[in-house]
Amino acid sequence: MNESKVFQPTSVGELLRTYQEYPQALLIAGGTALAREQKHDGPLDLPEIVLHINRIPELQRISRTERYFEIGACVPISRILKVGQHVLPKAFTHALHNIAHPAIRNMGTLGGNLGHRPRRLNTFGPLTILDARVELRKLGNSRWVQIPRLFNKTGEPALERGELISRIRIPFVDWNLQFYQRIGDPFTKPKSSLTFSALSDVKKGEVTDFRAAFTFLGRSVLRDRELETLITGKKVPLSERIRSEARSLFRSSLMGLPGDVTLFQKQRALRLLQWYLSALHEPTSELFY
Amino acid sequence: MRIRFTLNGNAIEAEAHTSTRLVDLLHRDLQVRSLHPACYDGQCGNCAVLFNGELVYSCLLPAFAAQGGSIYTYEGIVKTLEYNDIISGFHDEQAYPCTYCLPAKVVITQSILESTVDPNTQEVLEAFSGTYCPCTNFNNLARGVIRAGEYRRRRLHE
Repeated sequence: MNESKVFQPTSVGELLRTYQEYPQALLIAGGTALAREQKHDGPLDLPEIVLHINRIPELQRISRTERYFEIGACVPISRILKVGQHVLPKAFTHALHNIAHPAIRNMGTLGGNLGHRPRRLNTFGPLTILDARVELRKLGNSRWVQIPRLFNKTGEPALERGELISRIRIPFVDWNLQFYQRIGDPFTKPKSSLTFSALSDVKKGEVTDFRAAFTFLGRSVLRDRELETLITGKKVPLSERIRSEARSLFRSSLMGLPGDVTLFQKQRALRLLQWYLSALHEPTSELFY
Repeated sequence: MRIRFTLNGNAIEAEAHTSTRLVDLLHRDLQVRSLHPACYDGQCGNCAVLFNGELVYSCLLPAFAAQGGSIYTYEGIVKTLEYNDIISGFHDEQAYPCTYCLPAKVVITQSILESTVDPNTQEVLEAFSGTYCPCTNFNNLARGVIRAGEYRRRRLHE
């Protein structure tokens, strides 16, 4: 086995210069997903060039303003939970809690969870509907994009040459009903697992805003804007007619998903949505299922 | 690739292939026998170490990630008074892990007690959720860890 060339930059400048020079390099922060993809004894299969980016203080910062929470791409999941547990949106913190177990959360990073190439992992769905943005940086340039823009329609990274995720910005918005559920393990049961995230604002018996996203822990993400529009503005509990309309709307969206989403996953998604819509009600206080 | 780090307080300089996992470097090359390379999937916990003070599973880390870091294993913890707290707590609550998984359970307990000396059952069970050796009753284990925290509090206040 050939020895890889490993770079361990200690500043963002050094990292961006090196990545510009070797855009084919594999970025490793926590490294958990990489190792879990390779469940075999012995050495890891690494490409020719590896950039180990876990020693850069700028990528390990967490900051907070009145409007948003900003998290460096290499901040471990456990530290986000420790610092942001009581201020971050519950759907997001619940997604973080659902990531494996504490030892893995100590190693895995938010940037790694979002940017994992083969799968859309736990945080992708909730951050999508929370309107979170990521800062993409390359040498001499930076830009902010919404989470879905990280990947193109075929599921490949939509990043430019030498560009990487440096920060994630999560806005503080009041949602009085937040929901997150993951079914199955994305690494061991990719054909049956999925995540469902939903945010609802219910005031005076009416849904004033509603958002929902499913990720199928492969590359597919489903956010149905027509469904969101249908539910927004309706009285709770939702009538049988609205729920049935939502069901058929969502079913046709599910049918449009690519072939890597199994029928089992589609049925699970449909049932979860049906259950959520039937349970939607006016909360007496901020509620999280 | 040359990798420099501290292992149980001792400076180490080791030569490892870039694709070597940390668990293999420690167990095979540096003879850290308390670690058991087993699942290579981060599920069994038998390669648990404290890396820069945090609990990590060394099968999931490439060896080069240890560069400049500090690693504590069971062998390092055994030499401290903190080990006595843990073993006394386990003993009081009849939590007797088998010899295979005892090192991992001690390292995980140490990580819990480093973050709080007054853990609750839920925190303890969550910390052990990444292990699956069925030798010990987990309720006894949770009580053992909480009792170990009491020993540590008492010792720190003496």
